Amino acid sequence: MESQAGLIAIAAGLAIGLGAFGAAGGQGRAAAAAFEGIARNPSSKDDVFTPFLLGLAFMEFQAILSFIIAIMLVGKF
Amino acid sequence: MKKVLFSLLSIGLGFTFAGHAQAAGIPHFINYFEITAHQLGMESALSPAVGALFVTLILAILGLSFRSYVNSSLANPVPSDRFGLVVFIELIAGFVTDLTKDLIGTSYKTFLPLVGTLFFFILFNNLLGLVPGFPPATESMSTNLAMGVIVFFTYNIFGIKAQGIKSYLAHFGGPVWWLFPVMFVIELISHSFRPVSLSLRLMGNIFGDHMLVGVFTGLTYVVVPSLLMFFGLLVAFVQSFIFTLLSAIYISMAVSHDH
Repeated sequence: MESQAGLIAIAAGLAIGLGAFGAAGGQGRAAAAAFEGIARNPSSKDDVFTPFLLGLAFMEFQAILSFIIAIMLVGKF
Repeated sequence: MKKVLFSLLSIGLGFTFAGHAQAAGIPHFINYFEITAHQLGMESALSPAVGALFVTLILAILGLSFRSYVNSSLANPVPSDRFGLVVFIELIAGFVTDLTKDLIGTSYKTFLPLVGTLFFFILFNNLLGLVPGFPPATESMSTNLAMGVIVFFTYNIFGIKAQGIKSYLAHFGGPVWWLFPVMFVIELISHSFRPVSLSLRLMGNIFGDHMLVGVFTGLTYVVVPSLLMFFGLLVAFVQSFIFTLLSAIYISMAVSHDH
């Protein structure tokens, strides 16, 4: 078991790191598009806001999943 | 603006100190391992059920007092000119009503009690999580999965009621008849994953935020946790909004007739 502890730590770090990388990239693209849309047409603010938040929630879910997996891995120590 | 920021900061600092005062014998208030152990169901000081009970009590008292306020103000319906509890409840209730009306349409009054209760319950639970020493019930998978399963049964039953069982099941079948075996399995998996994804999203967000505040309280003691608590306030509102929005969308997809 002693040799596996380091591997588990690396796996947990990689899990949350890669998950956050992808989710942050996707959320950045979504936010850029939404803000650009609002900047071009400020009256569309209310219509853009709800789907924007919904999209962010779906992207964030991937990061949340990897977070849960990282927590489960750390709990294996 | 400056005044508001200052009072927010001092409230956060007060909470941080309160957390430390409560945990006099323990070196770190909610440390990382304690939360991990708590999450794995090993040991905890206050179980999430206590948080849920507390929130239910708060909601009952708030609802009853709001009801008596509405009854007493029927003769003289002038809104209050200062921002109090009544205005806060009216704001949230109006927000949820508009949301449900926009998404579900004409039959929104059937689902407003469910959706509104979900919003209030999740919001108050999330806000309770920002008070040190109180475990939010939404941090536990059991609470969230219970809410997710309630939403799942609601939209399925009302969908069958609104469209008839044959027409409702035809939704699962895809556009053409020879795709039915493939599409049915995919749709079945997608539908049964809906309550799981709803509850996992809420649990991960609230648990993660709670843990973040706990870790930074253990590391820095002052200032930094209060900033993270402000972030947690944002997460509390957004996550309750997302849960309610997704429930309303699932219901509206099931009961809509335009296909």
